[in-house]
Amino acid sequence: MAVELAKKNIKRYRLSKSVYLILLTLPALIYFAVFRYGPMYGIIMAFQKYMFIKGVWGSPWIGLENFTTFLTGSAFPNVLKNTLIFSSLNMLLGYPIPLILALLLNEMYNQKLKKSIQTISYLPYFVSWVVLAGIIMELLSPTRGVVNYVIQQFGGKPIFFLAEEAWFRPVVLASYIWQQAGWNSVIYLAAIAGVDPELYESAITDGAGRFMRIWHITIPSILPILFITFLFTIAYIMYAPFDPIFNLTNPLVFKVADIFDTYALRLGIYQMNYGFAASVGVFRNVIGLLMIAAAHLVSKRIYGHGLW
Amino acid sequence: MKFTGQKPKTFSDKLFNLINCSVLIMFSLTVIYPFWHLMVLSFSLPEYSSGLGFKLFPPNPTLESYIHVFKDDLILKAYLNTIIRTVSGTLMSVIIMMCAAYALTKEAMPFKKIINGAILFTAFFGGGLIPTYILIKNLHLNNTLWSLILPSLCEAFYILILGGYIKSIPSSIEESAYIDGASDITTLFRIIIPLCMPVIATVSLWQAVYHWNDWFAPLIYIIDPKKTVLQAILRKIIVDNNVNILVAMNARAQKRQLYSYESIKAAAIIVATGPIVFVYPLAQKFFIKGVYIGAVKG
Repeated sequence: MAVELAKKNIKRYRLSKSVYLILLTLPALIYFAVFRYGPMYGIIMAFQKYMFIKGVWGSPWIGLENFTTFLTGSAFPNVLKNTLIFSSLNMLLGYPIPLILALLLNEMYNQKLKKSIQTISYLPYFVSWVVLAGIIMELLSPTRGVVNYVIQQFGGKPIFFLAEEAWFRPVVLASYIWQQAGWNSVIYLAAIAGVDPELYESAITDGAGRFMRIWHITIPSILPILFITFLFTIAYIMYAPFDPIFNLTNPLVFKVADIFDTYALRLGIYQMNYGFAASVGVFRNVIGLLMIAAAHLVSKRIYGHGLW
Repeated sequence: MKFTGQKPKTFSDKLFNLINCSVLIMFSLTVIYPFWHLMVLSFSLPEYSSGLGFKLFPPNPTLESYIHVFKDDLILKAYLNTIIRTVSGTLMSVIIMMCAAYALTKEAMPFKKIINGAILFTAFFGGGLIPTYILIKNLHLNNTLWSLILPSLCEAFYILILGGYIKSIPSSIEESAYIDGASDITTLFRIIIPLCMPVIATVSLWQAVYHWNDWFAPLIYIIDPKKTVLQAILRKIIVDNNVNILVAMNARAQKRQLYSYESIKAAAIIVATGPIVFVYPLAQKFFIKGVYIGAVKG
């Protein structure tokens, strides 16, 4: 009798505890259901000739037509090329720079100076791209910018950087890498600080110079984090940096500036071609997801555990 | 003993140190100068700010641009909206995510694996901008402050970080609390949350910075000028080159007075970005610690 009562009480306790836990999670669950999974349902738009008045249920179904229009259209090769160029150049240049920054900072003797430089280095990360775009436009202005001032002092003619196709990409890349460098270096600095000092000790007694120590001890010790960040860069190759491009773009440079997001945005919200724009987004997200999944599998193979 | 960053002894050590410091200082200058340039512009008279060249010091410092910016109704309203959005958005986010993260670390949590998986999935795949936009419109949230706060309420990644840290708290602490008679909620608020302050501070900082700097959501959802936020106004001033939305500038435009809008732009930027620039060095401790935790876990 007592045992039965005890069992009942335990069941009741377990039930109330489960209910209580569900209640704790509920707001988050509602959020994810409405704002994350809800739009996933809206992906159906990509397969429709979507008309806002008719909504998802009423708009006519046109299957893959949006996708074929997009993929065979004149914009696609450009958009794909721009996206991949941005991402791969960002990987090529933007990947080593935070690492070098971290290594150099780590070699500093003056701790106060090191701290100050570190703090300054991630200032750009905390500033919005609207402001950064404003700064860039000011500095690169053909009539008032300091860069053109220097060019003119050397006898050259002012360059309208942001309006020229040849210059747009380098400017966006350089400013994006500059913005992210300090912030990204924090992770590397944290990893470098975790290296066992004894390794350095024995290296010094063996006569290893500074660069040898970096190459043979520091880098191999932080290889896991280097690998993970590298994988992430590859996984997100379809996601070119939206903020700088969107804020600095103008019709003169659409041909080299347009990436999936900016193109979809123009078509979707400004031209109200919702179905088509949705298909651009779906295409990008699907390919992106495949890349991320591939990166995860590669990580699992090599390191035993994946990206998540 | 630290073996990197030792006092330079040999000549080659000293040389390296000199070059290293110079390179790093030059890098710092590339960060500092643009903002210094802005400051100088904001304190300048129109004639000076139209000139070409390096701006190192305003010849006749004036507060005129700042006065225009501070007296402007649009800016003041936007400031208020930005503060409301940032504070409430961050607060809501952290509370909701913390509760969920906590519950998901408990074995007693029903459907734990499914929920974890469902949340994780959203980190890698999303509906995309257009479906989200349509959703917000259908919920009649567009043109309200909610459209700025709700869509970014939770991030799978942040929940992961929070949960990871909670798991690292030894269960003996919770158990002794139970033995002392504390209920679940008491443990959550009196013990777990104070212990998690490093990660909570980190996630709060990330969310707050996001909210303060977000210009995109207001761009597509907010139409009413009274509901706009700072970054949206900045965007109009900077990218659309439209300074006349500011009352003072509009008045001058009516009177066809000449005024260099560069100074106004600079003043507006400084006013909008100032708070963040002041706050982030102080918050450094937190996010560096947060990154340590993330790096160690990863």
